[in-house]
Amino acid sequence: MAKKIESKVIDVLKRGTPFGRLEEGDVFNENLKIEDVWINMGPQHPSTHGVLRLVLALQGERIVDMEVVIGYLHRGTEKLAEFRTYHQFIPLTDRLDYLASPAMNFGYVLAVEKLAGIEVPIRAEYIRVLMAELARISSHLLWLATHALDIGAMTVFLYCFREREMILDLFEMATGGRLITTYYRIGGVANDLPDYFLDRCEEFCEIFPKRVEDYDALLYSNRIWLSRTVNIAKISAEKGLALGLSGPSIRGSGVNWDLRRSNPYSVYDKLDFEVAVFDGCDVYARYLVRRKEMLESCKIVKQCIEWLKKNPGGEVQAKVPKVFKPPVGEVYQAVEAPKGELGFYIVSDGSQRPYRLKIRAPSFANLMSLPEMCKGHLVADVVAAIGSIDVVLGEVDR
Amino acid sequence: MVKKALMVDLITGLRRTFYYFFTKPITVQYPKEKLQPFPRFRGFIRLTQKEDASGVKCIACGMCARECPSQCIEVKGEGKGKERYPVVFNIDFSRCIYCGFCVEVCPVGGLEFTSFYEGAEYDLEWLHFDIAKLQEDYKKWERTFKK
Amino acid sequence: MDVLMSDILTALIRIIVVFALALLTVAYLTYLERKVIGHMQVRMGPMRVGPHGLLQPIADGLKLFFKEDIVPTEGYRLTFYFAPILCLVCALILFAVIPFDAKFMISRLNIGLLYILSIASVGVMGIILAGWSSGSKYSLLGGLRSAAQIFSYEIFLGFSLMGPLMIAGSLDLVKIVEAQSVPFIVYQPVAFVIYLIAALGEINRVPFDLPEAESELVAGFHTEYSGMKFAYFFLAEYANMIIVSAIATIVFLAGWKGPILPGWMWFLIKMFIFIYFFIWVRATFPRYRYDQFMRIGWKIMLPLVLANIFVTGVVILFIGGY
Repeated sequence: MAKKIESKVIDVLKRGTPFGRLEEGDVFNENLKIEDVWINMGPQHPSTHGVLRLVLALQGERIVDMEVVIGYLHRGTEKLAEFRTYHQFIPLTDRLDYLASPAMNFGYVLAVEKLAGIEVPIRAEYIRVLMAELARISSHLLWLATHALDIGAMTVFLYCFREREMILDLFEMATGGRLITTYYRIGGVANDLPDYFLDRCEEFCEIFPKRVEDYDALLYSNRIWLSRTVNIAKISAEKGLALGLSGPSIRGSGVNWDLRRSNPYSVYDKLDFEVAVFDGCDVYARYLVRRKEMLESCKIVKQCIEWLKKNPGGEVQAKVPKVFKPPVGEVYQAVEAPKGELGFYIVSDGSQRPYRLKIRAPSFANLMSLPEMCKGHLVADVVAAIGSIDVVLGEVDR
Repeated sequence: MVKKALMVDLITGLRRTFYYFFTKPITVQYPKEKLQPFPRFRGFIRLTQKEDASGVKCIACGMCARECPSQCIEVKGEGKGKERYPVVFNIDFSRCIYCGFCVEVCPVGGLEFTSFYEGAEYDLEWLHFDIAKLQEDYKKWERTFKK
Repeated sequence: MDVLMSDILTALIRIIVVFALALLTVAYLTYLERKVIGHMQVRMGPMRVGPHGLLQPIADGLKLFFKEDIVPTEGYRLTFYFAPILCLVCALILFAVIPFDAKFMISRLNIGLLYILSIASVGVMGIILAGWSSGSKYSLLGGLRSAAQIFSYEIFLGFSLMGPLMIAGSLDLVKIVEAQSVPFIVYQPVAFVIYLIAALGEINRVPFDLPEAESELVAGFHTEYSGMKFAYFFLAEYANMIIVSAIATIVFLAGWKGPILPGWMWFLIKMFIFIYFFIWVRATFPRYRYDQFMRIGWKIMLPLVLANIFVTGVVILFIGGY
């Protein structure tokens, strides 16, 4: 009887099971040893936010090793830049972090202006900051939406999208594009804001803090949310800095480092805002940082509106020659994009096109800290960790 | 402790969703109802007509074709100076990224944005607009469904 | 002979009515869920098929019916086919003992509650088998999770019903209802809350939907399923939701008892309050992690529910029953 059962079992194993297949010559029931289970998470997986692929080695549900595989969205943006004029490259920067395209434009045009020494009209500066901060809110809203959805709270997703829709409407009003705005130009912005824009924007700033209460009611002190985020995916400040973590992710580890403050560009030094820093080092701290940043951005937007209302009219674009040729040289300019430090390094040989353009994408650097965060945690925590560093694959793969 | 045992944090969440259960949905039922895009909306691009309706404003200078980042415009013109007019004007909307540089750079305002955006088509050829198609009224292609 | 025939006939009619209604309710439960969650999320839910999307469940059913039936090459074919059927059958035969009214039920068992608990635990086997036979690691993880989850939550589910049972002094569902001159929720509030939580775990719903946590395990144990086999799991899940609500109604809310309205109506109203609650919870909460979920079960709920049984026992001993 026992023999019969054993032969049946071997039969089944030979046909193949989820644990593997018994091959000819394999010895059954001897030297049973524990092996890691390798799981492919992505590139098509509901919570890898695009086409990120993670290869996980699991012991049960615990992660012992992890490898991040990227490149599924590689479009060769840096190489493409060498075949576009400085002006023509602007729409391509939109497509890096497509969730905050004004912020991406901002970094690029600042770098080019620094290279060519162009003075930007003050009104354009305020409009730029206004747009960049709106983009930050919109990007963080989408982050909160998907992060909460990954952890299972699906209603937050739709509440966030409701507010994001309002911001996209504002973008459409001012720039004509909803997602891909292409609003910034070398030496200013494309055109002045339409007259009804500021009122609508003010309206949004009034509503938005109230709407943040909606998300708080569902997440902020919810015990399930807390148990899923507190003490999960910890990364210390030293480790984070060593891995090049930047933006809200490093501010969640208690490092007070925000380029808007520590290395002010544009008119950020004239604006009053707080840098959100929390030192929990975990997913929850990063959530708090982004949550506070949304409110602070809202404050900055209000100040910009105030200034723009006080000083109507005026130039929004500096005189830039039609055939734009910056001097020979090289330049690095970094801005605080919603995901972290976004840098553009441009080498110019004096022609119409950049000789070389390198993008320091925040998500790319942030992603490298993911294995560090996840080791020793459970599969469910990987999802929380990915959400907490807020990657956009368009920016990672470029 | 008492708060935790009474599940105050969970009840706040439940209350919020219950409140929204009785508010009006914000959905716009797309094919039945449509949002009107704002005036600056960057939809499909169109050739503008002269005021006296004697032809297109375009002078076939080729600025738009040079400026286009995705190289989807093709222009050939005939004539000299102010008399110059386009013979060939193709926009390939399957490549167009709607950045608006062509409209911005045009010296005579020969191109304009329409609010038409429903360009999802089964036929790729349909998106290759030539000079005749670029002067048509795009409104007729808008998707409208009656209830 | 005639008596026997008429007995069989009435039984058959009852079976047909109950099962047809059950399946229809299950189908429309998906619609209800989508509508309720939709409105909680300031959107509308299904609106296209039929007026206000009323025909949506039928359209979904048709779609699933005509879908290709895929069996993964690494899968174990027999079990793969068998698992969803087991799940659905176990869910549906539970309807046999639910008393919708003082008279209307398919069969009256004197161990009705025991029957429900035991059959429900057999249903778990379907999920485990599905997870194992799919030949996918995601399914396997989902299956294992649900094995641990459902087996342990079965215990709290059973224990939380113990208090009311001790008061009623019977396992017969009809007798339990008849024993409630005052609904047991008044005597047993702790057991009621624990029952609700355990029920959420038992039927794999948010915040305890770990076996099919879509953001972690894609779709858990039914990742590899498609077409009608997937629909079976789906139906089983919603049928279980009805069953769990029905038991809560019977044991804690005095079943069909109520003024003015007929009994079956009261029963349905009370049952749908529970169903609405389950949907409401799904719209609100995030998902627990697997180990945290087990910890809640064994470290908080088990002591609580045992204490509840103990206190109930002591009270009955001294007062001598209600």
